[in-house]
Amino acid sequence: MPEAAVEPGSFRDRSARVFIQDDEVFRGLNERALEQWNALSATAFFRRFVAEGGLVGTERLDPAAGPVPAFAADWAAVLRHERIPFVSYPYEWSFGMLRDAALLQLDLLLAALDEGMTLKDASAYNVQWRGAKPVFVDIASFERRPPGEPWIGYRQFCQLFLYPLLLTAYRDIPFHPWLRGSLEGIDPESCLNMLGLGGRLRRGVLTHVYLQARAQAAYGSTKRDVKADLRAAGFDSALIKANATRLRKLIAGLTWKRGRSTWSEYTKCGHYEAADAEAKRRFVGRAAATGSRRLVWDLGCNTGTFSRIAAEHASYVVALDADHLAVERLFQSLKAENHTRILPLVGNLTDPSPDLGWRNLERKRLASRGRPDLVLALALIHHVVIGANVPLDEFVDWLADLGGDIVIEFVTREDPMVGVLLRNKEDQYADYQLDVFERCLRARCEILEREPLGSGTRVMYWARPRG
Amino acid sequence: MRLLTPLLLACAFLLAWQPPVQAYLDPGSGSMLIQLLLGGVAGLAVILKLFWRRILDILHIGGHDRERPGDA
Repeated sequence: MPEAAVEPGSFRDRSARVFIQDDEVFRGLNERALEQWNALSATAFFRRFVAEGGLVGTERLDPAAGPVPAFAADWAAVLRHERIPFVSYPYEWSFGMLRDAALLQLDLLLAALDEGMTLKDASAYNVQWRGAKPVFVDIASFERRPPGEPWIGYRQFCQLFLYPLLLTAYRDIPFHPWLRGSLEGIDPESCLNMLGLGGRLRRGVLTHVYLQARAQAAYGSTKRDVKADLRAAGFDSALIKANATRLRKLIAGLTWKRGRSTWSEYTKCGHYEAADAEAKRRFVGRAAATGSRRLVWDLGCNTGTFSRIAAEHASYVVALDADHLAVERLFQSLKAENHTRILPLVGNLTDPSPDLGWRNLERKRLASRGRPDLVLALALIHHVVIGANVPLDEFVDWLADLGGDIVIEFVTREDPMVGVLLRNKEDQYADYQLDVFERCLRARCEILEREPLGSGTRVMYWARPRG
Repeated sequence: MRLLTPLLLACAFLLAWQPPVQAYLDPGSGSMLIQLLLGGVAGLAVILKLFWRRILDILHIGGHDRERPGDA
Protein backbone atom coordinates (compact mmCIF):
# COMPACT_ATOMS: atom_id res chain seq x y z
CA MET A 1 0.00 0.00 0.00
CA PRO A 2 1.31 3.53 -0.70
CA GLU A 3 2.09 5.88 2.15
CA ALA A 4 -0.90 7.56 3.77
CA ALA A 5 -0.98 11.35 3.79
CA VAL A 6 -1.99 13.11 6.99
CA GLU A 7 -4.82 15.56 6.42
CA PRO A 8 -3.09 18.72 7.68
CA GLY A 9 -6.34 20.36 8.81
CA SER A 10 -7.21 17.66 11.36
CA PHE A 11 -4.70 18.43 14.10
CA ARG A 12 -6.79 20.36 16.61
CA ASP A 13 -8.34 17.44 18.47
CA ARG A 14 -5.43 15.20 19.43
CA SER A 15 -7.64 12.18 20.07
CA ALA A 16 -8.03 11.49 16.34
CA ARG A 17 -6.36 12.26 13.01
CA VAL A 18 -7.51 12.01 9.41
CA PHE A 19 -5.41 10.25 6.76
CA ILE A 20 -5.89 9.99 3.01
CA GLN A 21 -4.67 6.91 1.20
CA ASP A 22 -5.57 5.57 -2.23
CA ASP A 23 -8.35 8.15 -2.50
CA GLU A 24 -9.89 6.80 0.70
CA VAL A 25 -10.43 8.69 3.95
CA PHE A 26 -9.39 7.13 7.25
CA ARG A 27 -9.45 8.38 10.83
CA GLY A 28 -7.07 7.07 13.45
CA LEU A 29 -8.51 6.99 16.99
CA ASN A 30 -6.65 6.88 20.30
CA GLU A 31 -7.98 4.78 23.22
CA ARG A 32 -10.27 7.51 24.49
CA ALA A 33 -11.68 8.27 21.04
CA LEU A 34 -12.22 4.55 20.46
CA GLU A 35 -14.36 4.35 23.62
CA GLN A 36 -16.42 7.28 22.30
CA TRP A 37 -16.75 5.62 18.90
CA ASN A 38 -17.98 2.41 20.54
CA ALA A 39 -20.61 4.43 22.41
CA LEU A 40 -21.61 6.41 19.31
CA SER A 41 -21.90 3.43 16.96
CA ALA A 42 -24.27 1.76 19.43
CA THR A 43 -26.76 4.64 19.38
CA ALA A 44 -29.97 4.73 17.36
CA PHE A 45 -29.42 8.34 16.22
CA PHE A 46 -26.08 7.46 14.64
CA ARG A 47 -27.67 4.76 12.47
CA ARG A 48 -30.62 7.04 11.67
CA PHE A 49 -28.50 10.02 10.59
CA VAL A 50 -26.13 7.86 8.52
CA ALA A 51 -29.11 6.25 6.76
CA GLU A 52 -30.66 9.67 6.08
CA GLY A 53 -27.34 11.11 4.86
CA GLY A 54 -26.80 13.67 7.66
CA LEU A 55 -23.75 11.80 8.99
CA VAL A 56 -20.87 10.57 6.88
CA GLY A 57 -20.89 6.80 6.26
CA THR A 58 -18.31 5.27 8.61
CA GLU A 59 -17.05 1.80 9.47
CA ARG A 60 -14.31 0.52 11.73
CA LEU A 61 -11.50 -1.28 9.90
CA ASP A 62 -11.15 -4.86 10.99
CA PRO A 63 -7.45 -5.87 10.86
CA ALA A 64 -8.53 -9.53 10.69
CA ALA A 65 -10.52 -8.90 7.52
CA GLY A 66 -7.65 -7.71 5.33
CA PRO A 67 -4.64 -5.37 5.06
CA VAL A 68 -4.82 -2.13 7.01
CA PRO A 69 -2.85 1.07 6.32
CA ALA A 70 0.59 1.22 7.95
CA PHE A 71 -0.35 4.21 10.13
CA ALA A 72 -2.93 2.01 11.91
CA ALA A 73 -0.13 0.69 14.12
CA ASP A 74 0.02 4.10 15.88
CA TRP A 75 -3.67 4.15 16.75
CA ALA A 76 -6.06 2.13 18.88
CA ALA A 77 -8.45 1.81 15.94
CA VAL A 78 -8.99 3.13 12.44
CA LEU A 79 -12.26 4.23 10.87
CA ARG A 80 -12.92 4.42 7.15
CA HIS A 81 -15.21 7.23 5.96
CA GLU A 82 -17.24 7.56 2.84
CA ARG A 83 -15.46 10.08 0.59
CA ILE A 84 -17.09 13.51 0.18
CA PRO A 85 -16.90 14.44 -3.54
CA PHE A 86 -15.47 17.94 -3.05
CA VAL A 87 -14.45 19.72 0.16
CA SER A 88 -15.82 23.22 0.70
CA TYR A 89 -15.66 25.80 3.47
CA PRO A 90 -18.25 28.03 5.17
CA TYR A 91 -16.83 31.17 3.54
CA GLU A 92 -17.83 29.64 0.20
CA TRP A 93 -21.40 28.73 1.14
CA SER A 94 -24.53 30.70 0.48
CA PHE A 95 -26.75 31.97 3.31
CA GLY A 96 -29.13 29.01 2.97
CA MET A 97 -26.23 26.57 3.03
CA LEU A 98 -24.80 28.00 6.25
CA ARG A 99 -28.30 27.93 7.76
CA ASP A 100 -28.88 24.29 6.80
CA ALA A 101 -25.45 23.34 8.12
CA ALA A 102 -26.31 25.10 11.43
CA LEU A 103 -29.62 23.28 11.69
CA LEU A 104 -27.91 19.93 11.06
CA GLN A 105 -25.40 20.70 13.80
CA LEU A 106 -28.22 21.48 16.25
CA ASP A 107 -30.28 18.44 15.23
CA LEU A 108 -27.27 16.20 15.83
CA LEU A 109 -26.63 17.81 19.21
CA LEU A 110 -30.26 17.35 20.30
CA ALA A 111 -30.35 13.75 19.09
CA ALA A 112 -27.03 13.02 20.81
CA LEU A 113 -28.22 14.52 24.13
CA ASP A 114 -31.28 12.26 24.04
CA GLU A 115 -28.95 9.28 24.11
CA GLY A 116 -26.48 10.56 26.72
CA MET A 117 -23.95 11.91 24.24
CA THR A 118 -22.91 15.37 23.09
CA LEU A 119 -20.76 17.17 20.52
CA LYS A 120 -17.51 18.46 21.98
CA ASP A 121 -17.23 21.25 19.43
CA ALA A 122 -19.44 23.09 16.94
CA SER A 123 -17.18 23.97 14.04
CA ALA A 124 -18.85 24.82 10.75
CA TYR A 125 -15.86 23.12 9.09
CA ASN A 126 -17.20 19.80 10.36
CA VAL A 127 -20.02 20.03 7.83
CA GLN A 128 -19.52 19.16 4.18
CA TRP A 129 -21.92 18.71 1.27
CA ARG A 130 -23.26 16.09 -1.08
CA GLY A 131 -24.67 18.53 -3.59
CA ALA A 132 -27.31 20.54 -1.72
CA LYS A 133 -27.42 18.17 1.25
CA PRO A 134 -25.25 18.84 4.32
CA VAL A 135 -23.23 15.99 5.84
CA PHE A 136 -21.55 16.07 9.23
CA VAL A 137 -18.11 14.51 8.83
CA ASP A 138 -16.26 14.77 12.15
CA ILE A 139 -17.29 11.53 13.81
CA ALA A 140 -14.69 12.07 16.56
CA SER A 141 -16.66 15.12 17.78
CA PHE A 142 -19.20 12.90 19.49
CA GLU A 143 -18.55 11.89 23.06
CA ARG A 144 -20.48 10.69 26.08
CA ARG A 145 -21.60 13.78 27.90
CA PRO A 146 -19.71 14.20 31.17
CA PRO A 147 -22.29 14.77 33.93
CA GLY A 148 -22.93 18.43 34.68
CA GLU A 149 -21.05 19.73 31.66
CA PRO A 150 -22.47 22.72 29.74
CA TRP A 151 -22.46 22.90 25.93
CA ILE A 152 -18.74 23.28 25.23
CA GLY A 153 -19.30 24.23 21.59
CA TYR A 154 -21.85 26.99 22.25
CA ARG A 155 -19.45 29.91 21.78
CA GLN A 156 -17.98 28.29 18.67
CA PHE A 157 -21.47 27.68 17.29
CA CYS A 158 -22.28 31.36 17.73
CA GLN A 159 -19.03 32.54 16.15
CA LEU A 160 -19.12 30.26 13.12
CA PHE A 161 -22.85 29.85 12.51
CA LEU A 162 -25.16 32.18 14.37
CA TYR A 163 -23.34 35.51 14.09
CA PRO A 164 -22.60 35.21 10.34
CA LEU A 165 -26.26 34.35 9.75
CA LEU A 166 -27.50 37.23 11.93
CA LEU A 167 -25.28 39.74 10.14
CA THR A 168 -26.58 38.71 6.73
CA ALA A 169 -30.21 38.38 7.80
CA TYR A 170 -30.43 41.57 9.89
CA ARG A 171 -27.89 43.89 8.26
CA ASP A 172 -27.29 42.42 4.79
CA ILE A 173 -23.58 42.14 5.63
CA PRO A 174 -22.07 39.23 3.66
CA PHE A 175 -20.41 36.80 6.04
CA HIS A 176 -17.87 35.42 3.52
CA PRO A 177 -15.04 37.93 4.02
CA TRP A 178 -15.46 37.73 7.80
CA LEU A 179 -15.27 33.93 7.91
CA ARG A 180 -12.41 33.90 5.43
CA GLY A 181 -10.65 36.55 7.50
CA SER A 182 -10.82 34.52 10.71
CA LEU A 183 -11.08 30.76 10.94
CA GLU A 184 -12.40 31.13 14.49
CA GLY A 185 -15.36 33.09 13.19
CA ILE A 186 -16.81 36.40 14.36
CA ASP A 187 -16.36 37.25 18.05
CA PRO A 188 -19.39 38.51 20.02
CA GLU A 189 -18.03 42.06 20.44
CA SER A 190 -17.38 42.54 16.71
CA CYS A 191 -20.77 41.08 15.86
CA LEU A 192 -22.43 43.47 18.29
CA ASN A 193 -20.65 46.46 16.79
CA MET A 194 -21.66 45.46 13.28
CA LEU A 195 -25.28 44.89 14.25
CA GLY A 196 -25.42 48.44 15.61
CA LEU A 197 -27.93 49.88 18.05
CA GLY A 198 -30.97 48.97 15.96
CA GLY A 199 -29.75 45.42 15.55
CA ARG A 200 -29.71 44.92 19.32
CA LEU A 201 -33.50 44.90 19.35
CA ARG A 202 -33.72 42.05 16.86
CA ARG A 203 -34.59 38.54 17.92
CA GLY A 204 -31.74 36.58 19.50
CA VAL A 205 -29.30 39.48 19.67
CA LEU A 206 -29.81 40.52 23.30
CA THR A 207 -29.01 37.07 24.67
CA HIS A 208 -26.69 35.35 22.20
CA VAL A 209 -24.69 38.44 21.23
CA TYR A 210 -25.01 41.28 23.75
CA LEU A 211 -25.11 39.28 26.97
CA GLN A 212 -22.51 36.82 25.72
CA ALA A 213 -20.18 39.69 24.83
CA ARG A 214 -20.69 41.22 28.29
CA ALA A 215 -20.35 37.86 30.07
CA GLN A 216 -17.11 37.13 28.23
CA ALA A 217 -15.79 40.58 29.14
CA ALA A 218 -16.76 40.09 32.79
CA TYR A 219 -15.86 36.43 33.32
CA GLY A 220 -13.48 35.62 30.45
CA SER A 221 -10.44 35.80 32.71
CA THR A 222 -12.02 34.59 35.95
CA LYS A 223 -9.86 32.34 38.09
CA ARG A 224 -12.86 30.29 39.18
CA ASP A 225 -13.38 26.87 37.64
CA VAL A 226 -16.71 27.77 36.08
CA LYS A 227 -17.20 24.31 34.66
CA ALA A 228 -16.80 22.76 38.10
CA ASP A 229 -19.12 25.39 39.63
CA LEU A 230 -21.80 24.56 37.09
CA ARG A 231 -21.36 20.84 37.60
CA ALA A 232 -21.69 21.25 41.36
CA ALA A 233 -24.81 23.39 40.93
CA GLY A 234 -26.48 20.63 38.90
CA PHE A 235 -26.19 21.83 35.28
CA ASP A 236 -27.93 19.14 33.27
CA SER A 237 -28.70 18.36 29.67
CA ALA A 238 -32.19 19.91 29.88
CA LEU A 239 -30.53 23.36 29.83
CA ILE A 240 -28.56 22.55 26.69
CA LYS A 241 -31.68 21.13 25.04
CA ALA A 242 -33.70 24.25 25.88
CA ASN A 243 -30.96 26.49 24.45
CA ALA A 244 -30.41 24.39 21.33
CA THR A 245 -34.16 24.10 20.66
CA ARG A 246 -34.58 27.89 20.87
CA LEU A 247 -31.53 28.45 18.70
CA ARG A 248 -32.97 26.05 16.15
CA LYS A 249 -36.21 28.01 16.03
CA LEU A 250 -34.35 31.31 15.74
CA ILE A 251 -32.10 30.10 12.91
CA ALA A 252 -34.87 28.33 10.98
CA GLY A 253 -36.74 31.66 10.97
CA LEU A 254 -33.84 33.75 9.62
CA THR A 255 -34.17 34.91 6.04
CA TRP A 256 -32.00 37.00 3.76
CA LYS A 257 -34.26 39.58 2.21
CA ARG A 258 -32.06 40.91 -0.53
CA GLY A 259 -33.46 42.29 -3.71
CA ARG A 260 -32.32 41.51 -7.19
CA SER A 261 -28.61 41.08 -7.64
CA THR A 262 -26.72 41.92 -10.83
CA TRP A 263 -26.31 38.42 -12.17
CA SER A 264 -28.98 36.28 -10.58
CA GLU A 265 -31.49 37.75 -13.03
CA TYR A 266 -29.09 37.24 -15.90
CA THR A 267 -30.77 34.28 -17.55
CA LYS A 268 -34.19 35.91 -17.18
CA CYS A 269 -33.17 39.20 -18.78
CA GLY A 270 -32.97 37.90 -22.35
CA HIS A 271 -29.27 38.50 -22.95
CA TYR A 272 -29.33 35.47 -25.15
CA GLU A 273 -31.40 34.94 -28.19
CA ALA A 274 -33.27 31.67 -27.83
CA ALA A 275 -31.32 30.10 -30.71
CA ASP A 276 -27.98 31.05 -29.10
CA ALA A 277 -29.00 29.54 -25.79
CA GLU A 278 -30.08 26.30 -27.41
CA ALA A 279 -26.86 25.98 -29.44
CA LYS A 280 -24.86 26.66 -26.29
CA ARG A 281 -26.72 23.96 -24.36
CA ARG A 282 -26.06 21.42 -27.11
CA PHE A 283 -22.38 22.40 -27.27
CA VAL A 284 -21.91 21.98 -23.49
CA GLY A 285 -23.87 18.72 -23.57
CA ARG A 286 -21.56 17.27 -26.25
CA ALA A 287 -18.41 18.17 -24.31
CA ALA A 288 -19.80 16.90 -21.00
CA ALA A 289 -20.97 13.61 -22.50
CA THR A 290 -17.53 12.73 -23.91
CA GLY A 291 -15.53 10.28 -21.82
CA SER A 292 -16.31 9.75 -18.17
CA ARG A 293 -16.32 13.11 -16.44
CA ARG A 294 -15.63 12.73 -12.74
CA LEU A 295 -15.47 16.38 -11.72
CA VAL A 296 -16.68 19.42 -13.65
CA TRP A 297 -16.16 23.02 -12.59
CA ASP A 298 -18.70 25.52 -13.87
CA LEU A 299 -17.00 28.89 -13.35
CA GLY A 300 -19.38 31.83 -13.33
CA CYS A 301 -22.30 29.41 -13.09
CA ASN A 302 -24.95 32.09 -12.42
CA THR A 303 -28.16 30.16 -11.63
CA GLY A 304 -26.70 26.86 -12.83
CA THR A 305 -28.28 26.19 -16.25
CA PHE A 306 -25.09 24.66 -17.62
CA SER A 307 -24.12 23.01 -14.32
CA ARG A 308 -27.30 20.99 -14.67
CA ILE A 309 -26.45 19.97 -18.24
CA ALA A 310 -22.97 18.92 -17.11
CA ALA A 311 -24.45 16.99 -14.17
CA GLU A 312 -26.46 14.85 -16.59
CA HIS A 313 -23.16 13.30 -17.65
CA ALA A 314 -20.61 13.97 -14.91
CA SER A 315 -20.29 12.39 -11.46
CA TYR A 316 -20.06 15.76 -9.69
CA VAL A 317 -20.22 19.44 -10.61
CA VAL A 318 -18.81 22.35 -8.60
CA ALA A 319 -20.80 25.44 -9.58
CA LEU A 320 -18.97 28.64 -8.65
CA ASP A 321 -20.14 32.23 -8.91
CA ALA A 322 -19.13 35.49 -7.25
CA ASP A 323 -22.78 36.53 -6.98
CA HIS A 324 -24.05 35.35 -3.61
CA LEU A 325 -27.71 35.70 -4.53
CA ALA A 326 -27.31 33.66 -7.75
CA VAL A 327 -25.66 30.88 -5.76
CA GLU A 328 -28.35 31.08 -3.07
CA ARG A 329 -31.05 30.67 -5.71
CA LEU A 330 -29.22 27.75 -7.28
CA PHE A 331 -28.85 26.15 -3.86
CA GLN A 332 -32.53 26.58 -3.02
CA SER A 333 -33.64 25.05 -6.32
CA LEU A 334 -31.20 22.12 -5.96
CA LYS A 335 -32.37 21.61 -2.40
CA ALA A 336 -36.00 21.51 -3.50
CA GLU A 337 -35.07 18.83 -6.05
CA ASN A 338 -32.96 16.94 -3.48
CA HIS A 339 -30.07 17.22 -5.94
CA THR A 340 -26.86 15.64 -4.68
CA ARG A 341 -24.45 16.06 -7.61
CA ILE A 342 -24.10 19.85 -7.97
CA LEU A 343 -22.25 21.77 -5.25
CA PRO A 344 -23.02 25.50 -5.45
CA LEU A 345 -20.27 27.75 -4.07
CA VAL A 346 -19.75 31.49 -3.72
CA GLY A 347 -16.34 32.44 -5.06
CA ASN A 348 -14.54 35.01 -7.14
CA LEU A 349 -11.83 33.72 -9.48
CA THR A 350 -9.85 36.93 -9.22
CA ASP A 351 -10.06 36.95 -5.40
CA PRO A 352 -10.09 33.19 -4.79
CA SER A 353 -10.13 31.13 -1.60
CA PRO A 354 -6.51 31.03 -0.40
CA ASP A 355 -4.56 28.46 1.59
CA LEU A 356 -5.36 29.33 5.19
CA GLY A 357 -4.70 28.41 8.80
CA TRP A 358 -1.68 26.82 10.46
CA ARG A 359 1.19 26.56 7.96
CA ASN A 360 -1.36 27.63 5.34
CA LEU A 361 -2.40 24.00 5.16
CA GLU A 362 -5.62 23.79 7.15
CA ARG A 363 -7.95 25.15 4.46
CA LYS A 364 -6.96 24.78 0.85
CA ARG A 365 -7.33 26.68 -2.39
CA LEU A 366 -9.85 25.24 -4.84
CA ALA A 367 -7.40 23.43 -7.16
CA SER A 368 -5.79 21.61 -4.20
CA ARG A 369 -9.14 20.03 -3.35
CA GLY A 370 -9.61 18.17 -6.62
CA ARG A 371 -8.77 19.06 -10.21
CA PRO A 372 -11.57 19.11 -12.75
CA ASP A 373 -11.55 17.01 -15.90
CA LEU A 374 -13.81 19.56 -17.53
CA VAL A 375 -14.04 23.31 -16.88
CA LEU A 376 -16.89 25.46 -18.14
CA ALA A 377 -16.08 29.15 -18.53
CA LEU A 378 -19.18 30.52 -20.25
CA ALA A 379 -19.61 34.25 -20.74
CA LEU A 380 -16.89 34.75 -18.14
CA ILE A 381 -13.75 35.87 -19.94
CA HIS A 382 -14.84 39.51 -20.41
CA HIS A 383 -15.44 39.83 -16.65
CA VAL A 384 -11.99 38.43 -15.86
CA VAL A 385 -10.03 40.34 -18.53
CA ILE A 386 -11.93 43.63 -18.70
CA GLY A 387 -13.77 43.64 -15.37
CA ALA A 388 -10.83 42.47 -13.23
CA ASN A 389 -7.89 43.51 -15.46
CA VAL A 390 -6.37 40.01 -15.72
CA PRO A 391 -4.18 39.66 -18.86
CA LEU A 392 -5.97 37.44 -21.37
CA ASP A 393 -3.02 35.06 -21.89
CA GLU A 394 -2.69 34.54 -18.12
CA PHE A 395 -6.34 33.58 -17.85
CA VAL A 396 -6.03 31.05 -20.70
CA ASP A 397 -2.82 29.68 -19.14
CA TRP A 398 -4.53 29.29 -15.78
CA LEU A 399 -7.41 27.38 -17.35
CA ALA A 400 -5.01 25.12 -19.27
CA ASP A 401 -2.92 24.47 -16.14
CA LEU A 402 -5.98 22.96 -14.46
CA GLY A 403 -5.40 20.08 -16.85
CA GLY A 404 -8.93 19.19 -17.89
CA ASP A 405 -10.91 19.92 -21.03
CA ILE A 406 -12.09 23.52 -21.36
CA VAL A 407 -15.38 24.75 -22.74
CA ILE A 408 -15.07 28.50 -23.09
CA GLU A 409 -17.27 31.13 -24.64
CA PHE A 410 -15.53 34.18 -26.05
CA VAL A 411 -17.65 37.31 -25.94
CA THR A 412 -16.48 39.73 -28.64
CA ARG A 413 -16.11 43.48 -28.28
CA GLU A 414 -19.27 43.97 -30.33
CA ASP A 415 -21.37 42.29 -27.62
CA PRO A 416 -23.44 44.75 -25.54
CA MET A 417 -22.21 43.15 -22.29
CA VAL A 418 -18.62 44.07 -23.17
CA GLY A 419 -19.85 47.59 -23.90
CA VAL A 420 -21.31 47.79 -20.39
CA LEU A 421 -18.00 46.74 -18.85
CA LEU A 422 -16.04 49.29 -20.88
CA ARG A 423 -18.51 52.12 -20.27
CA ASN A 424 -16.60 53.75 -17.40
CA LYS A 425 -13.14 52.36 -17.98
CA GLU A 426 -10.16 53.34 -20.03
CA ASP A 427 -9.86 50.74 -22.78
CA GLN A 428 -6.41 49.30 -22.08
CA TYR A 429 -7.37 45.85 -23.25
CA ALA A 430 -5.71 45.62 -26.65
CA ASP A 431 -5.31 41.90 -26.00
CA TYR A 432 -9.06 41.44 -25.78
CA GLN A 433 -9.56 40.29 -29.38
CA LEU A 434 -10.89 37.06 -30.80
CA ASP A 435 -7.71 36.33 -32.82
CA VAL A 436 -5.46 36.98 -29.79
CA PHE A 437 -7.63 34.73 -27.68
CA GLU A 438 -7.57 31.96 -30.26
CA ARG A 439 -3.78 32.22 -30.58
CA CYS A 440 -3.38 31.93 -26.79
CA LEU A 441 -5.71 28.96 -26.68
CA ARG A 442 -3.96 27.16 -29.55
CA ALA A 443 -0.56 27.75 -27.89
CA ARG A 444 -1.64 25.59 -24.95
CA CYS A 445 -4.48 23.43 -26.23
CA GLU A 446 -5.82 21.44 -29.09
CA ILE A 447 -9.14 22.92 -30.19
CA LEU A 448 -11.62 20.07 -30.55
CA GLU A 449 -14.61 22.13 -31.59
CA ARG A 450 -15.37 25.75 -32.47
CA GLU A 451 -18.85 27.16 -33.03
CA PRO A 452 -19.83 30.81 -33.54
CA LEU A 453 -23.26 31.46 -32.03
CA GLY A 454 -26.05 32.91 -34.15
CA SER A 455 -25.92 36.36 -32.51
CA GLY A 456 -22.49 36.86 -34.08
CA THR A 457 -20.88 38.26 -30.94
CA ARG A 458 -20.06 35.01 -29.17
CA VAL A 459 -17.92 32.00 -30.12
CA MET A 460 -17.84 28.66 -28.31
CA TYR A 461 -14.63 26.61 -27.99
CA TRP A 462 -13.98 23.13 -26.68
CA ALA A 463 -10.26 22.73 -26.07
CA ARG A 464 -7.97 20.11 -24.55
CA PRO A 465 -4.62 21.10 -22.96
CA ARG A 466 -1.60 19.40 -24.50
CA GLY A 467 0.65 17.13 -22.41
CA MET B 1 -6.84 -4.63 60.14
CA ARG B 2 -6.94 -1.16 61.66
CA LEU B 3 -5.64 0.18 58.36
CA LEU B 4 -7.97 -1.85 56.13
CA THR B 5 -11.18 0.08 56.74
CA PRO B 6 -9.85 3.58 55.86
CA LEU B 7 -7.99 2.05 52.90
CA LEU B 8 -11.19 0.49 51.53
CA LEU B 9 -13.07 3.72 52.12
CA ALA B 10 -10.38 5.69 50.27
CA CYS B 11 -10.50 3.23 47.34
CA ALA B 12 -14.29 3.44 47.15
CA PHE B 13 -14.07 7.22 47.22
CA LEU B 14 -11.46 7.30 44.46
CA LEU B 15 -13.47 4.94 42.28
CA ALA B 16 -16.62 6.98 42.75
CA TRP B 17 -14.85 10.19 41.84
CA GLN B 18 -14.79 10.73 38.09
CA PRO B 19 -11.86 12.92 37.06
CA PRO B 20 -13.14 15.86 35.04
CA VAL B 21 -12.49 15.35 31.33
CA GLN B 22 -11.07 18.52 29.82
CA ALA B 23 -12.22 19.59 26.37
CA TYR B 24 -9.68 20.54 23.68
CA LEU B 25 -11.85 23.57 22.91
CA ASP B 26 -12.01 26.49 25.34
CA PRO B 27 -15.72 27.00 25.87
CA GLY B 28 -15.22 30.49 27.38
CA SER B 29 -16.24 31.12 30.99
CA GLY B 30 -18.73 33.82 30.08
CA SER B 31 -20.22 31.68 27.33
CA MET B 32 -20.74 28.84 29.80
CA LEU B 33 -22.40 31.09 32.37
CA ILE B 34 -24.71 32.66 29.78
CA GLN B 35 -26.09 29.20 29.07
CA LEU B 36 -27.82 29.37 32.46
CA LEU B 37 -29.95 32.24 31.17
CA LEU B 38 -30.67 30.38 27.96
CA GLY B 39 -31.68 27.17 29.69
CA GLY B 40 -35.20 28.27 30.61
CA VAL B 41 -36.74 27.31 33.96
CA ALA B 42 -34.14 24.59 34.53
CA GLY B 43 -31.46 27.28 34.21
CA LEU B 44 -33.11 29.44 36.87
CA ALA B 45 -32.93 26.63 39.41
CA VAL B 46 -29.20 26.16 38.70
CA ILE B 47 -28.59 29.92 39.00
CA LEU B 48 -30.23 29.97 42.42
CA LYS B 49 -28.20 26.99 43.52
CA LEU B 50 -25.01 28.54 42.18
CA PHE B 51 -25.61 31.78 44.10
CA TRP B 52 -26.59 29.92 47.23
CA ARG B 53 -23.34 27.95 47.09
CA ARG B 54 -21.36 31.15 46.63
CA ILE B 55 -23.05 32.70 49.68
CA LEU B 56 -22.21 29.60 51.68
CA ASP B 57 -18.65 29.80 50.33
CA ILE B 58 -18.33 33.41 51.45
CA LEU B 59 -19.70 32.60 54.89
CA HIS B 60 -17.50 29.49 55.07
CA ILE B 61 -20.53 27.30 55.73
CA GLY B 62 -20.71 23.76 54.37
CA GLY B 63 -18.39 22.15 51.79
CA HIS B 64 -16.59 23.88 48.98
CA ASP B 65 -17.68 23.56 45.34
CA ARG B 66 -14.58 21.96 44.05
CA GLU B 67 -13.62 19.87 47.00
CA ARG B 68 -11.93 16.73 45.81
CA PRO B 69 -11.02 13.60 47.75
CA GLY B 70 -7.32 14.28 47.42
CA ASP B 71 -7.75 17.74 49.01
CA ALA B 72 -8.92 16.31 52.31
